Amino acid sequence: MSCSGQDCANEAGTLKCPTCLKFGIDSVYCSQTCFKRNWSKHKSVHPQESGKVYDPFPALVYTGSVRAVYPLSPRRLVKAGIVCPDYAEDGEPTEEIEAKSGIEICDAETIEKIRNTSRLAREVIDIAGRAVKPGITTDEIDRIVHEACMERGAYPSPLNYYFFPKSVCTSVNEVICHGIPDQRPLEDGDIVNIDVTLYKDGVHSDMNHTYYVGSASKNPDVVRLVEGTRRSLDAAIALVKPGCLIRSLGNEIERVAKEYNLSVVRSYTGHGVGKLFHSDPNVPHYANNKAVGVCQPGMVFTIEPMLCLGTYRDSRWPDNWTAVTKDGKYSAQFEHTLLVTETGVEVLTRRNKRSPGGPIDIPKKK
Amino acid sequence: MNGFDELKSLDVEILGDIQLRESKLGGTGVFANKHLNEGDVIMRIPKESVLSPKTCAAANIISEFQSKLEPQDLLVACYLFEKSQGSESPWHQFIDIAENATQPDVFLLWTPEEQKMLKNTNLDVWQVPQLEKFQETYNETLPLFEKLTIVPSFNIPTFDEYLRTSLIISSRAFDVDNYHKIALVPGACFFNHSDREHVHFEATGDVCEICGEIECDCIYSDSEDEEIEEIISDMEFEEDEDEEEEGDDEQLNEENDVASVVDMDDADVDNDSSCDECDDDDDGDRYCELRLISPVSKGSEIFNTYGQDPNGVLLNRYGFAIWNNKHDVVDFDKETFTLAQQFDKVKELEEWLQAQEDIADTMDQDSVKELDDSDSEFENDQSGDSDEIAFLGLINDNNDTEIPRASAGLIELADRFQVDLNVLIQALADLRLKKYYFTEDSKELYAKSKKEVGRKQAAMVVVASEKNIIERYIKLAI
Repeated sequence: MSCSGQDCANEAGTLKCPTCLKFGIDSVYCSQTCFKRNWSKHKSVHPQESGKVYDPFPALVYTGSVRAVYPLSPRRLVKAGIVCPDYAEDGEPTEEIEAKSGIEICDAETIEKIRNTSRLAREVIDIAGRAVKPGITTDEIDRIVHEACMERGAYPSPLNYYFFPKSVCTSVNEVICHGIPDQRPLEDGDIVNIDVTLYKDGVHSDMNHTYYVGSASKNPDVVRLVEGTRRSLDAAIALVKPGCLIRSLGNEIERVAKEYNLSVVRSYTGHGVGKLFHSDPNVPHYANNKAVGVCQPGMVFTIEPMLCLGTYRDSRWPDNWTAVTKDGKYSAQFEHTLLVTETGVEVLTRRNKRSPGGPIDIPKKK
Repeated sequence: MNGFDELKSLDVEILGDIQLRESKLGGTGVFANKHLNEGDVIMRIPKESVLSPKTCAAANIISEFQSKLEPQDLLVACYLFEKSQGSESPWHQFIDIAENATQPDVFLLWTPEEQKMLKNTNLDVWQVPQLEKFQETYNETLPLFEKLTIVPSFNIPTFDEYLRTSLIISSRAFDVDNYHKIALVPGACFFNHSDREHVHFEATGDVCEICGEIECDCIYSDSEDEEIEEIISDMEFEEDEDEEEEGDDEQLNEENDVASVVDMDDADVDNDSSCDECDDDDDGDRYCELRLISPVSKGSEIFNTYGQDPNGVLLNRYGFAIWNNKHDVVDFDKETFTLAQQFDKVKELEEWLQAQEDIADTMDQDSVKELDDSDSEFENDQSGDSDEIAFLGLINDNNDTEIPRASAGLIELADRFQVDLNVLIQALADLRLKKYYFTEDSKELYAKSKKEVGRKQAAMVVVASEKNIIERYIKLAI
């Protein structure tokens, strides 16, 4: 067992957090200094009173109705034997930081590994997607994703990436992306995006999907948003083939977004994926962008448009992760990991017949 | 309407009250609508809006040829690629302007008959790039062009199209920094050239070669100059001052995001937020600026310098020459040989030349004679001592009333020949003046040139300017 200190790579010692013990949680540290150093972050996992949850942020940070519901559950442990990426211990993706810029062309062996990791990522997201229903907390979804990864011998890539505390991103309603799973139960009428990335055999595969919670699929505006976003991704993927310009993808996404009267988030982009979680190319989703890159066989990257019912402008919660729309209106996202082939594109994280959360019809305006 | 509207989509900021309109020099120029002060920044171009091998959509293909082709040849490919994208290219309006402008009528396009007008001028001594050289580079670039045809709208250019584009590039490119290297800078190339310029092109050149940032984590970064250290320490100091209110935002910006990469360049920055990304001082290295080095009066054309170059270089790269160009020279290379024979000093001359070659080899410095050297674009290439020692001639670099200067090399040679410097120069001048195509003296020739146009006019200006330097030296120094 490793030390619970987020920035610590040591083996855990015998020093346990007394507060956690009271609630029957084992948070074990290697030393007192390590415990002290991590205190400010660690204390957020403490219930304020036995079993009670609380809102860690002042009211003015919120733009919509979703609230952070703390405490976060303790960091989930990674099974022995699972190969971890370099940031798993110290939070710093050193290889990414030191990587030379440039778009990698993957060899056949690497492609096969990414294909396999993608297949597993699809299995994991489908398990998580089936669990989506009113009442389940996003922390519970995180547990499900984490355990599904462990069962498959894969590391959940978000965990400790720049100290991200959880194994998956769960983004509800006005949360655009990077939501941290917490104690908030999903409510009827919500939408939730589950963003899963797995790391296995030295490669990552990244995908996300937005699911309707309960009657949300009956709300015409929400359906327009979710299905419009799904279609914008499909339309962009349809363009991908050797010779396609990366910068042209945003034009297509924004064209579809306009068709459904939706706006396109500009601050977050798709990216290369493979040996690194995030690499070149940078794939903006908005029109008239100046991204560089011509698609060539062997390139692997994501497209992950985030579309909004209202403004595309975003702000961030004080957790430094959760991105929300400035006007608090809903935002949806879909993402696939794509391989450019000799003749077109292979959607490595594609759905299968049993995958939950397929497209639905958009009600026609009367 | 100031004529710069086409550049809005590239986020070019027009900061001075300036206007694009017809210039007396032909084509368009930039004019001051009111009095402008020295030190004013009149135009600011984000580095991300320059067209370079780093920003071209085909950057990933072009970078494969980085070690095989020269930066300017890569830029030719970038330009042709973006041109092939038509209105889909972020630079299409800029490219339209460049395509529709008068193309530089450079010396190499002149017929052999026309080139004779410049017989025995500097241009005759210097290595003028020939069509064959372009043909060679074209052949070397063909594999890149072939690779670019993966994009259906790109067609391999004909040699003529390639040549035409090469001339556009060499007449318009700026040296931006060691990340972009030479690039096309929308807006900056609208200024006409003068040897008595008002405006200077400024861009922080010492940035990381890998990512283009001043301060970065790239392990291959070369930016280790003291100057850069100073800038970094200044930046840190400024950040410290603002830490209290902006500390949080700083932290936000430094962190990447888990499911997607933050697109810093296009991140929406609100004016009302405390984010200091919008602070001019902090990200000056992300912009190219045009700053006035002298005041400009209302209604005057604002000139830039394309380089402190003699007429030979100007004619070769831009297709024009300037009467009494401040940076002009007279190169006595050929005459020195003739004279050495007359003085029976051939052995001394050869020894001296060999010594210079050895120095040049060790210094590996660009000499004034390197005409097709495009790196000297905007940097001051004021002849350093090492350059000047290899140069045998007269240097104008003064005003009309002052005496042109004998180069350090010429002074040393006189010493070696054991003759008086002015005796040497008089002898060289006599040889030179006899051989010009135009026989009139400088003032008369210049007066006549005003009645001519095109290539003949340019040739007359080149000869008249050279003669003017020689005549003034003889009149004032001897």
